[in-house]
Amino acid sequence: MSEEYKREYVFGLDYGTSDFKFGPITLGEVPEVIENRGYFIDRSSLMSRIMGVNREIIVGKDIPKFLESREDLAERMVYPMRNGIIAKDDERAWKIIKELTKYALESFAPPDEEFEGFYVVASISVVSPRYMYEKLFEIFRELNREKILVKAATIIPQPLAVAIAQKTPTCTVVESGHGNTQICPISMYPVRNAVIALNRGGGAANALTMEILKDAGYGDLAKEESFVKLVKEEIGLIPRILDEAIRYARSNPEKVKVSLKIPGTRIRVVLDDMAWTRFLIGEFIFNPGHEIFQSYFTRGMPKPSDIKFGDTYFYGMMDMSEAVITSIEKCSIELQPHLYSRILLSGGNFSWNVPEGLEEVAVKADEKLKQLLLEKEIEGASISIVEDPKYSVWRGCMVYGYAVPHDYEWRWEKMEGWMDVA
Amino acid sequence: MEALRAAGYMFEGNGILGGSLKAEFRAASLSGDEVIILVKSAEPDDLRSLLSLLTRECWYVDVYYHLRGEGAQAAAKNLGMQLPENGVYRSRMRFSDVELRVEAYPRLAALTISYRAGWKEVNSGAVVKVHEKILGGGNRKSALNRLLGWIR
Repeated sequence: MSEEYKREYVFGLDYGTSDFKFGPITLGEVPEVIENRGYFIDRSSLMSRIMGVNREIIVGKDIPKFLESREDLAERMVYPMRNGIIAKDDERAWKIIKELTKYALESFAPPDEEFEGFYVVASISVVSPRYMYEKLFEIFRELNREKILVKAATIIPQPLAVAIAQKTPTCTVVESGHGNTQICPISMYPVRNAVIALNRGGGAANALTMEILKDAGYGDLAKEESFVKLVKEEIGLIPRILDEAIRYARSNPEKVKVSLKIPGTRIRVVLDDMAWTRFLIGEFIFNPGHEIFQSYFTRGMPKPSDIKFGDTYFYGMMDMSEAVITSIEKCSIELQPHLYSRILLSGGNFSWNVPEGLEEVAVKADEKLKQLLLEKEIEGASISIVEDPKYSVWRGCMVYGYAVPHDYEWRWEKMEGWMDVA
Repeated sequence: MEALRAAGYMFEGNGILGGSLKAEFRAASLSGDEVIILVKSAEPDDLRSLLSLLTRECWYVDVYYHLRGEGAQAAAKNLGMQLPENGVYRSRMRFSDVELRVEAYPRLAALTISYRAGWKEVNSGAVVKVHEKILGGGNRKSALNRLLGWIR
């Protein structure tokens, strides 16, 4: 197998907590994206037998065609990577990961005999335990028993993929997806004992948006997560300083009020008197400990809780700047200034816009973190949001797969190289 | 990189700028003998200038276009091919004396078209003709997706 073959067949798989990004190197900048979820069909039902549905799991864009009642949805729809970690014995979750992987690879596997499998670069959370690596390699082997899809595979942590895509060997990566946030200092390799994980991401902001929608009279609609997510993305704002932003919104309601029409429906969401709550959505990502959120917790909104998965703690309420500082301060003193001087924000949870006219009070994620660090006396931090933060992990997979020579074998002690799975 | 600089291209981080061309260095092999350049936008003539320069420095350049949705359908129509409904299809066709490799991914409504360019394809003007055939003659500002350069 030649180096030239490998370069043509590098394939990236980014197992995000909400979205699964995949595709070969020939896609250029933007991978294919489907939701990281699967739906277990009730195969015993009469209708599925009449309709000739003989699959156990549906993944990808076909899922909506198979959905049953809302009650069934909760039981049958599985989001395997909600926390970035899958328990070793969670068979349903692993089945979905296998099905998603198969879906991705089969979508691009050429039919001709020249094809001997992709060189797969998979990326998972930096806090993933070793058994997840072993399990993924096993999935690639199992898929090959049905049809050759993977020649060799390697697995890299998501923050490292971001650093690779940015060609930055020394930095701090803050990767925030739907389910969690990983803060990972990198000095050539991830500094694993300095990693801090937060048990919140875009999903936490969704939960708050849901409460805001309920208060605004859209309680019925607020039960559907895709609707809530859309509203969050369209109306949510990150305040530069929350208290000032709320004061501004109350004295300039015409500038902050919003009316959102949901495409393809007759639904319109209007926030008029309550427009100030738009700033709460962004604030919650960074600082859920602000006293203003207490009333939501009191009324039953779930508080992001501290959880332990394996050896890893996921902190629920730690504010983002505190997490960055705690993580960096676990590294050597000599290294710390370098880690503050290049903080990369990556992941869909950092894609926030500032509408025209609100620049005074609303900011993007990098400015917000800078402000919070300043409040904790960290001056001179250089923070940037990577280009297309949602895709930066997949892009890092491409750069890594392209660079690593095809004959560089996997080594468990370094967790790098190609594992032959064909 | 030196050749690009000598030819008047500007660099901003990984970005390469020259006339209407906006591109960036995406990746390089560890041995340094290959590089990926991602072309984000370029008028056909500026693309030809870039390829002309690269083919003087490299053994060959593999040019890739990846198109999705309506762009893929339009390109297939321009090339006179019918997109299949299922599976993954790979075929070859000749246009302007260049062998094009076409890969269709119907499940994703996507199409990848690639060919290998050398000095002959650049000097004969085939590079511009292929570009316009794939992206449509009137769409001279459309983005190319990717170039792979094999450096000598």
